[in-house]
Amino acid sequence: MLFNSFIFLIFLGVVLPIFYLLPNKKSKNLFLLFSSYFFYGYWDWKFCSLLAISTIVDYYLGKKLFNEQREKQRKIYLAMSMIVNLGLLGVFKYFNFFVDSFSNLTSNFGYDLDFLHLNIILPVGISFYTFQTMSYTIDIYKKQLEPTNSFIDFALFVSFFPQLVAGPIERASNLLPQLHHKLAPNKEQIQKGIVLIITGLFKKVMVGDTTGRYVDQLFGNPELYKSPELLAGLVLFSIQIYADFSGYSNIARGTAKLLGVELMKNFEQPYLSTNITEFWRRWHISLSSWLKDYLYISLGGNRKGKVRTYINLFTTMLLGGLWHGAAWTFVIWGGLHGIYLAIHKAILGNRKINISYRYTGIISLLNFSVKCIFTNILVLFTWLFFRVKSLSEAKYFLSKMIYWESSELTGIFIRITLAFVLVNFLIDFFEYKTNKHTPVLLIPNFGFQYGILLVLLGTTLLYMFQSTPLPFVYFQF
Amino acid sequence: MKNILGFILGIIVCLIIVEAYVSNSFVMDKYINDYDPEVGRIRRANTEYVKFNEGFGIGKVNNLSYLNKEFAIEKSENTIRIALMGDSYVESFQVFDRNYFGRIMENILSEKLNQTVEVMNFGRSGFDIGDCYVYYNTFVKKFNPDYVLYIFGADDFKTRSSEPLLPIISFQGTELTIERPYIDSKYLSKLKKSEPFLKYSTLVNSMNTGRKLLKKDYILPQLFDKLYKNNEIPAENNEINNIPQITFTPEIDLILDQLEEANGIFFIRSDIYILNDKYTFNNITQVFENKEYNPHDWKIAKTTGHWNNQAHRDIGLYMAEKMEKIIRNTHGLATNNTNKHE
Repeated sequence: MLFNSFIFLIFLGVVLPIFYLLPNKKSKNLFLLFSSYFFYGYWDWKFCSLLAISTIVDYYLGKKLFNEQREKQRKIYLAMSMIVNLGLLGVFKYFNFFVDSFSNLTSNFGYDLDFLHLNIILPVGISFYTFQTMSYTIDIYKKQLEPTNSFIDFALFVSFFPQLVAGPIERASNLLPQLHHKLAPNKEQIQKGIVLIITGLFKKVMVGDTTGRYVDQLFGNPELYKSPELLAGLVLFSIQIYADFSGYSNIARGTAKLLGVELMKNFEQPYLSTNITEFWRRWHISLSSWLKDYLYISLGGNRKGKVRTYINLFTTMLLGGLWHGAAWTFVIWGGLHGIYLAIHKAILGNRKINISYRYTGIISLLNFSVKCIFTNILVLFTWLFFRVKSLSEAKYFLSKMIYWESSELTGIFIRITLAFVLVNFLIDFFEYKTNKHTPVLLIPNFGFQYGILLVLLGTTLLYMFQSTPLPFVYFQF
Repeated sequence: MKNILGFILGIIVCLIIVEAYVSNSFVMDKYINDYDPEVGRIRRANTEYVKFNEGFGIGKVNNLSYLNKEFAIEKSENTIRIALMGDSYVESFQVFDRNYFGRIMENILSEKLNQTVEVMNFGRSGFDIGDCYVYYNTFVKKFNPDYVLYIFGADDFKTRSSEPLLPIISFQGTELTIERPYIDSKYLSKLKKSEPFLKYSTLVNSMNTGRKLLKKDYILPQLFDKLYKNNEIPAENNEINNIPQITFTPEIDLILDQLEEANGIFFIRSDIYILNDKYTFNNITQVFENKEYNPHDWKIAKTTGHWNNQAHRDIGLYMAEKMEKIIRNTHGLATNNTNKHE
């Protein structure tokens, strides 16, 4: 079920009143669990079994891990959890990638391994919920978390519908304790929840989906378009992926708030970052912090000398790239970010980065703007590899950038791109300035707040009514 | 009171920002029509458009109210002018002008004939043969085209315009007259009141489009997605399953006579049997024989519909070849055997 569809709004309209009417914690959690499975099963009920397998295995292994004192046995339990979760990912997401890559290699020697290719589809959100459940068993293994005794609470932790298919990837230490209490949203949560859903929907539908229509066409048939048009397509993709994902995360957070649950922020205006390290503290925060805690630090982090730090950064980002998709283009995307981060780390040394800008004069603003633009150019280049379907497509695109050809439609493409950039910047500016995802609530006049929200909601619904919802970009991961 | 004023102000401020955004980003369709007492509903001059129906088209209704590349009303000397007429297949909102079959034909002909060739897109969505006849006489004729290429589909051999703001043909004996019943109609006066809002606000135009969609058949699947079961059996597509046979009424016969007299050349874009050998119809579908693609397939939109980019290219080549022969014959130009475009 897509957040940007009417059926989701109807689903929410049914779930919320029943949820509010239920008397106790157990019935509320049970009902939410049922609703979450319905939400997931609406796409394809057969894949609910994967969710169930991941839940059952990690629930019992978590308990075993906690009660076991022998280190060797504990490692076996942890390995079992990893094997099951990564095994699911491996089969459904990476098997064909490795088979195809290997087959390409062996075909040079006359061996055809294409018969190994499986006709399977990638279950929606599998990368998100497997990482979430894995963090549960790893935290118990590290003795940073006690397992829950409630199977229902744990099952709900894994399948909680607002963040099930696209995050934020929650930690058990944040979400599970909330599920142990009777969920009842307060007035502030309801207020913020509604605002987050409306602004998130606007961002996802009116910015993300609309840029997506341009991007799909320009990247779908690049040979039909000229250099300025393709460059506009790349800029528009950078806006699409941000508006799409951050809008979706806002809807997720807003929906969770309506159920009395606080989810972590996933985005903090990443395109206003002045360097690449800051970018990664603002972009897909739940994944980058997951990779940092469970991969980068496990590899040794910065504790084993400078060179190892750079290698660890690079490896983490490379695997982070592979998490996004089973293709070499994602590996390059991750690798490029790894290189950027390692270089920035080398330049930075032991200095800490400052991630909030305060205006102190025109020179400081100029300095901030130049750094932002430079960071955005670096990020923009990597988005090319994220969006293209193959390396040859990336090569074609880059050749169009080098051997520049003018277009009679440059003017209109600039106008379109600027409109998207400005609306995106306007939203980010208010969020950055107020340090909140609900800046509209800071307007002292309630009438003014409602007026703005009404127009945003009305326009979004009008567009949704006349178009087919575009799937969320990160669903494929 | 403060809150009520704030509410109104909030709506106004936000509407202005959203309107500026949607109209400059073209995320919603703009109103691209205008009213002309002589021509009826006409394309609005000097209006840019972006269309995502099936394909992707960006272009402009030029200052003279036809699509894209603009040529002055007065034709220059030593210029061959070709007007393209027909329905949405000719108008082709789905492709960029540079990929439009007419432009491809223009480029090839200019090169092969070593002469200025101007191809003008007078296609209009929903136009049938009757509409084309009227549009030619009320609008296209003044451009003085040397050739007028009409492209018709199986359903276009009729004279009942579905558009209430277009002039219609009246057939009396052997005479065709153009009438304008819409003048002084309630529809027109209503349109005149609402048109300024539609013209200058993309949001209002979108609301108007949404209003037209408020039908049970559209609303329920849109709201309930796959939970809504549509029990209707889809109508058979005769154009695909059966090749229709067409006989012309005396009225159509007369229209074709007059169009042919006015430098008309006819093409058909679907497989039909025309039970009349008085006129020559060039069949465009033959372009796709032995081709390994579906000319109506839009892979990105995952739909079928008008000609796709590949089809435009092949039709452009085909029509250029046809027109080269015709032009050489009628203009007495020497034959050039180079066929580098093939």
